Amino acid sequence: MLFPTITFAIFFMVVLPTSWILMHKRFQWQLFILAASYFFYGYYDWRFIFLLAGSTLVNQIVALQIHSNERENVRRAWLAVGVAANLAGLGYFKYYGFFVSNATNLLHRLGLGVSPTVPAVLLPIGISFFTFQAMSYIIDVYRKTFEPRGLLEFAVYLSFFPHVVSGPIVRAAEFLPQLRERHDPRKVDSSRAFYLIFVGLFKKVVIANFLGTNFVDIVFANPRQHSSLEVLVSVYAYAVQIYADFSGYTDMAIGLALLLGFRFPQNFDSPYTALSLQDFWRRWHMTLSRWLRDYLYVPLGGNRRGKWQTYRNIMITFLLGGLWHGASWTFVVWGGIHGTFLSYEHWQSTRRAASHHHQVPDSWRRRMLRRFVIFQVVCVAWIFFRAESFSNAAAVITRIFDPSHWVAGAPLVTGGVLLAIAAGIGEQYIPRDAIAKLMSRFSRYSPVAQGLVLGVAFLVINSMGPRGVAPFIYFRF
Amino acid sequence: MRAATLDELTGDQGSPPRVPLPAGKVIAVALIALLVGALLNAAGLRKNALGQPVGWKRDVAKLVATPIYDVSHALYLDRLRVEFKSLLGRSSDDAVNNRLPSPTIHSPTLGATPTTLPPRQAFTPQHMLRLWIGGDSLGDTPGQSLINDATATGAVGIVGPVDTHIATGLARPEVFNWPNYLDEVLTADQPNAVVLTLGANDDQTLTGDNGGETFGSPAWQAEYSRRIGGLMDSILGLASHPRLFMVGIPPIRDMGRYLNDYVLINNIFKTQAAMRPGRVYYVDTAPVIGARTPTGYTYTDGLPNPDGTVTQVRSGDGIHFTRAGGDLVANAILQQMEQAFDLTSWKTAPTTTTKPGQHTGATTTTRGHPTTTTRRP
Repeated sequence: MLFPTITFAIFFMVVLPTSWILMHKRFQWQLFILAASYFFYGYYDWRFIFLLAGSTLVNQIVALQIHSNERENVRRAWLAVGVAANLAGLGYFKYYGFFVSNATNLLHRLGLGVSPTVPAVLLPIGISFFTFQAMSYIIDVYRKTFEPRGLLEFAVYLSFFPHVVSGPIVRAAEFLPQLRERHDPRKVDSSRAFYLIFVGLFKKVVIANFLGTNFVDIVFANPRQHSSLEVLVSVYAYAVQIYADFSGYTDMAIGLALLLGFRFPQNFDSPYTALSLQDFWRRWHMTLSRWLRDYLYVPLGGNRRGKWQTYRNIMITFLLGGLWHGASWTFVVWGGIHGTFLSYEHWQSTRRAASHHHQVPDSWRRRMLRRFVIFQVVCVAWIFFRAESFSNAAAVITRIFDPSHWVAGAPLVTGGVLLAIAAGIGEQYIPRDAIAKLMSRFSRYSPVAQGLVLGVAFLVINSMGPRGVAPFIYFRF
Repeated sequence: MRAATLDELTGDQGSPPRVPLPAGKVIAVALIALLVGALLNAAGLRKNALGQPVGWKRDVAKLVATPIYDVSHALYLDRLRVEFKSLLGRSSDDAVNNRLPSPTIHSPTLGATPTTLPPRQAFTPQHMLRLWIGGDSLGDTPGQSLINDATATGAVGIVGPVDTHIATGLARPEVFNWPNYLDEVLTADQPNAVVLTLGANDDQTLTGDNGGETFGSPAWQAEYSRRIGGLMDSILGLASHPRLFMVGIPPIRDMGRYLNDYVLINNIFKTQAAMRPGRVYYVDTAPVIGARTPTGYTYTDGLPNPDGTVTQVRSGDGIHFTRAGGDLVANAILQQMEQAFDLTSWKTAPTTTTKPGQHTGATTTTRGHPTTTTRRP
């Protein structure tokens, strides 16, 4: 069930009132929302429900075992079991074919010819997201920063339908305490919720779908058939498409949760206004960045063990972060580009600090230049993220720099494409205060006026969007 | 390091105060928004409802969408969307067109005595073959590969990008009316060759003109044959007299569906193509992308390379193609195209011997099987 569909609208209009009616009866509410979430998740493929339920059970058993044991080596062993079980599930469903085909090709190169048939394993939707959430739960229990909750509460946390398929990656410590809070049905932060839902819809249905179907997919499918300008603009268009697609989804997820009385952490904060790559990762997929920092980078030693160890830790974190996105070496290269540039930034900042380098005064021009440079670095990495193979990525890059195609026309670069790119980037430069004031003003409208405004917004979004809804890019991660 | 609080993480700190609403009013706002949105988008809603798979869901959707459309139309509320769509240059988005053309030929020539077929036209870099590629989602990856392969001949130019429309076919004209669409697009483009991939979404009850037949029944087969034949003739009737290459549906992971449904549809394609020899070519994808068995071809994820490694040719859904699979299908299409057109003799022939559009060979058919007698350089 996709958010921008009539089916979901009907589903949500049943869940929303029922949820508020049952909210004061904690147990009944939890049962209801669990059933609704499983229905939502099973709507994609009912077989996935068993995987989600199995993950819930295994992780709850591990968390309880870690919590009930005092001996450190036993606790550590249970944590290892839990992490291994989660990674095994992820590895099987997401990376099995990748590992087998790579191993087969390696054996062939070594002269050991085997040709196993690679069985097609159906990728359960959202597995990367709920696996990471489950891992954060057992690790937090192991670290004693969080006590395990009952099975029902944990099951609701893992399956809660606004975030189950594509995040944001909400941690147990952020979500589970809200289950025990008293939610006041007289005070729903609806104006922010509606703002997020409708902006998310616009980003996904209008900007992302338009750029994807009318431009990016066409150019990336066959870069050699397009002019340098078309290919170059398609890279920028993809940067906007993936931002609009993913941030649009999480905006909707956060807004829907807010209507149900739950707060999620922010997942995007104008990432293309970043002044450095480190700044970019504080703004892009923020919940994943924090997860990788707290559960991978810091346990590896972070930046506490010297220069080279820091570079190693950055690279490991980003290479694995790349692989998290998909079973392909192109994603690893994407992570490698980010890791390398972050290491360079780290080297530069430590060198400056060591030499007491004079700080260059900040200026508007300098900030714009830095933003421009970081955006280019991010876009170069996006080429590998989007390309279906290295040869495809190479074709994109060589075509951009091929002078014989610089003067060719660019019929696909229409006014609509440029407008969508400008809107996707320009949206990130709108001052946060202006948006906050807009939400505040909207909240003072009468319910009828609010409904009318939103109804007209439906008209604009539905009319401008292409027919049908393309699947969200991050669903496959 | 202090862990950030949820208040800090929501990114909503320091915002001007907002007036919260009681849950009941929130539900009212949502209902009003949905109602107003439905009335303003009634035409699109009706089109979406009609586009549902035939069955109770579609019946319910029609039952809801039709009165909403009627009210919206009566109150002129649908005009806003019409104007807005017109502004965007997409006035036909909400149109529902069920008309499907009939074939213009009626006597099958399958099994006929040898017939002289249309000449095998020659194309050169100076006079390129105009190739149009489109169809349903199965045509996408092979279409992209075909662009590379066909343009590499030096004698083929592509008319626009690969024009695919997912989840479409000839069974449901109210979802997407291919004959109507092709009439508009191809009349403007006037291609010399059309590569069309259709059928994988058509194993369902037909709607539109003469609709209502359940899949596989004799009436269904007759009506589907009429639609395919009508589509073929409307393409062949273009001023540019194009050749049509109908790409067959490959074996899919769900072999039950393939054997029960797709083989029937492929056979209809094949029969209709054979009725138009030398003008319509059926491209059989099963030998190209399937694994050989004693009884025919079956589905496989990967095909062996000469060096023993395996290349994955199908995507994870067991239906669509990987790039490598698309390359194989494209290669098969190009081979068929080279039966119909001379795309290569310009490379070796003296500059004056091959004129644009010149007949360089004669193609004849015996019992429906085209054979080529071409003067190869």
